Amino acid sequence: MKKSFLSGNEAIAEAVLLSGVKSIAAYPITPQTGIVNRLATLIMTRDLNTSMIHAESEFSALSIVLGSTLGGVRSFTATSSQGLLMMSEASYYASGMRIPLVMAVVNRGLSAPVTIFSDHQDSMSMRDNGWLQFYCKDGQEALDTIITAYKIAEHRKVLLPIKVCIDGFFLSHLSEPVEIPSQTAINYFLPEFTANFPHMDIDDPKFLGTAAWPDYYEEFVFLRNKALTNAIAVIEEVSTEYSEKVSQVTSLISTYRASDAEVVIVGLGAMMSTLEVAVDKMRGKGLLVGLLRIKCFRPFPNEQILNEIKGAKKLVILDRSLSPSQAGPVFLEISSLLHTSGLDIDCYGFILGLGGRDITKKTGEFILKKVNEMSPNTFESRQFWLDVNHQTIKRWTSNE
Amino acid sequence: MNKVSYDHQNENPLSPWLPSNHSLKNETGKWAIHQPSVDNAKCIKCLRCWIACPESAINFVDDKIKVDRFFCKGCGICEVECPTEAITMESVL
Repeated sequence: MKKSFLSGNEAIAEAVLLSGVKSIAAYPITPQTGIVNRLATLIMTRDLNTSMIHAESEFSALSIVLGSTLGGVRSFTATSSQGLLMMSEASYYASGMRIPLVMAVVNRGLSAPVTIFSDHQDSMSMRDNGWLQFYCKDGQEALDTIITAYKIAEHRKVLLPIKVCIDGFFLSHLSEPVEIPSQTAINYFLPEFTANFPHMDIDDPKFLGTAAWPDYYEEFVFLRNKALTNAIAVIEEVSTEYSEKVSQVTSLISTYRASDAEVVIVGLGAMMSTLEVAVDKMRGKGLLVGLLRIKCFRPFPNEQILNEIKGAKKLVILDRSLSPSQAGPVFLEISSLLHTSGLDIDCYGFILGLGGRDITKKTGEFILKKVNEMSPNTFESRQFWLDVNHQTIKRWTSNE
Repeated sequence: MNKVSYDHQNENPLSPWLPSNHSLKNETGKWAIHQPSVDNAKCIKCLRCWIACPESAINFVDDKIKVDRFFCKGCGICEVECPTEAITMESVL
């Protein structure tokens, strides 16, 4: 175990090479470029036998790694924002053909208006394409998650592709100390890649990714959905194994001072580590507040979340993305979970931090203040725009 | 529409795949509205039609062009490519 000062992008590049990836294809896009840049440098300086293809588009980049995984080698790609949207067609082939590959998504808002800064709208727009989705809270978790993701994706009961998401700039470009496990420890944890699924085999040729008419199509979708659901247990199993053999890693969810909390703040990604500081401060004032961070958004860990929130009086759900006219995607998941489980907890959905708007420790206190003023079960409590500038909105709409 | 069977699928996970040579059974000739008819007197055996056919439905047998009507979808590329107008598309309906 050696400690280095790495950005999130650099930590992911280290993890990719530790995982013994032999095929990488990518197209540069801010803020993901640092991953590919670092990988190219490391492959050259360490003289590694890893294929690195600079594709002509993201559609090609994903298609190339689909092909190389089907050809029998562990593969990796990374993208952001518009690049992820361009991959969307090929992404359904990846899950439909049950291809176990890992992709890093450095979250960035979508155009227009053009932005390079972070929110979760890009990966949320790919929510239903059958991939697993992990949201990391820091560079260390990004590194550990990439390595565990290969083992989860390649598990016989799963065999699905995985997106590992980190917040653009907040994680991708800020450096912090990251412990890099030894290659020996990783080799002990992650075996060599074997194609244990229908793949390209010269001795047993087949057509892959073929058509299925109405008499078969639904069965394929059913089994894919079952595999995604089964992945919950596999993620727990693999994360435990990683924690024993390499270092501690969060599996599905993590909590912070939530066991006795009356108000639990729920959210994804890097903003949750910022809010830990806010929670400490509020606890100092005697407020019973805690955090629940969802690391694994697909499959959605319903039971694990229920276990943590059942004692809470109020839930505040933070979304850095939006399902227009309704609410944030995390809010929609949690409120449907509460409804089906019969739990009666007041739920508040906050939209914040879009297009890279900063979430600071002050945001935490502002959240609590607002929650105390609001009444539950109203439209406003489903999507309260926490940090929108109402003066700007008023100025822009003054002529209407 | 030909039935596609997935009865060979006994592997878990079920990725949609078919055994090799599946296309040999798929009678794409049924899709055709027109199929080529060859005038051997005009044919100079340049084999441009054989090269251009996207379905490999043109064979060269006994020194003559022969259209495989089981596979020919009737796209008409051979008619356009033929330099001597030896190929004309005719209705097969």
